[in-house]
Formats: sequence, structure tokens, C-alpha cells
Amino acid sequence: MTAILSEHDLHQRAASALALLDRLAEAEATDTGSAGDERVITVRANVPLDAPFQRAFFEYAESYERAAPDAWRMTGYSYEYQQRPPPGRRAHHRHDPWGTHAHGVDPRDPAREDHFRDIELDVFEAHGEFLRLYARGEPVDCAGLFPLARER
Amino acid sequence: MELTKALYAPAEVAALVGLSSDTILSYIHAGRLFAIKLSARTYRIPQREVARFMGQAVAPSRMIVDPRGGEAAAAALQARLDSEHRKPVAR
Repeated sequence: MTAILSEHDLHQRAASALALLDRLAEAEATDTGSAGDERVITVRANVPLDAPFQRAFFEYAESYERAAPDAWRMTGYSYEYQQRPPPGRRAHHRHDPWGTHAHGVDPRDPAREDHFRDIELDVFEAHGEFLRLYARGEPVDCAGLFPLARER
Repeated sequence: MELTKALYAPAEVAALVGLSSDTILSYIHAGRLFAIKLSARTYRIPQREVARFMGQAVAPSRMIVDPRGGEAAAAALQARLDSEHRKPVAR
């Protein structure tokens, strides 16, 4: 998402993401504020999860650079869903120099962590996917994901 | 009442609060009770939402200011994400 967000829009976005996770557990949002030219907003929650797991971990981090005195442009994101233990994982990332990609770890084969092709997602789209993974309560698998070429 | 499950079916919430499953489903459809929709007829309600619905206190979420500042936090995030691309990839 390369749209430019106003200070107000960014606050609203962080508050909305916090509200999403507040449905599941006590959540925490961290904002580095508007003093500098770079900014990171992170929202995370540790959530109860039924056996065979104990917890689920949701973390949504977005980095921004100042585009104008009162405006911010997103430069990258990390949207994470993890099952603990064992270490099941689905993540959507966008960051230089790798661009947009996904990570997946099937807890039945955790040594096989891999990087996968991905499309650009909004935090709310990623959250919808993670919610369904969470509510199913089954181990995350990597079915339907296409591994990236090794040189990436 | 201690809630021991992470996720509840509508029928389980109905039993906890002494209402019918249809009533719980109507609350879900009306947006009065948050539920995760898995299929047209399958919902799961998180423990925290069940606790709220039952009137139990839940710890509040919070927004805090990171004292490191944006540049340091951005560098830390970038370093963490980059480190994943230096790990050997299983094939």
C-alpha cells in the first residue's frame, strides 16, 4: 500500500488494528510518533489457543516515511500469525530489497520454513486470513503457496 | 465462572448464559456478539468476547509511545526482517 496517509488517518489505522486484536486478547499498539522522518507502528497480542497449541501470536508492524509535514507513506510491513508451540507460522511481508513475499511454517515440519510468492495485502486482509487460521485451530500448512526462487 | 476454552461455538455460549443457540446466532448476525465466521453455519467466539458478553472484566488494550523513536525502530524492524533471508532455506 503506497497511499499517503495523513496523521489523522494513521492514528485511525492504528486504532482500528488495535481494536481488531482487542477482540481476541489484551493487545498493545506501539507508535514511535511523528517527531522524526521515519515511523513504525506495531500492534500485537498473545491469544489463548486450544490444544494441541497453547497460544497464538498476532503481530502487525508497518513502517512509514514522512511524505509531507503531516503525511506518511508506507515503506514496508510485517503481518505475522504464529501458533505456539509448536512453531506454526503464516506471515506476509513487504520490505526492501525483497519486496512482497510470504513466510510459512507447518508445525508438523518446522525445519522446512520457506519463502513464498505473495501479493500486496492490507493489514485488514491479512487479519481476516489469520482469524480463520486461528479459529480453525488446526496446524497452519503451506498448501497453495508457491515457493520463491532460491536466489531470492 | 472460569472460561477454559480459547474458542466457543454458539451453542456453548448459549449454554453458558442460559439462552438459546438461535438467540446467540441472532446476536452474532446483529453485531452484538463478535464471532469468527468459518462457513455459512459455523462460527467461533473468542474467549475474551465470551467473557465480555458474560459481563466479566477483561484487561484493557493500550496504545503506547515507543521511546526509541522512528529511525531506531525502523532499523530494528528492517534488521529483523532481513535476518530471515539469511537463514538457509530447506528444500
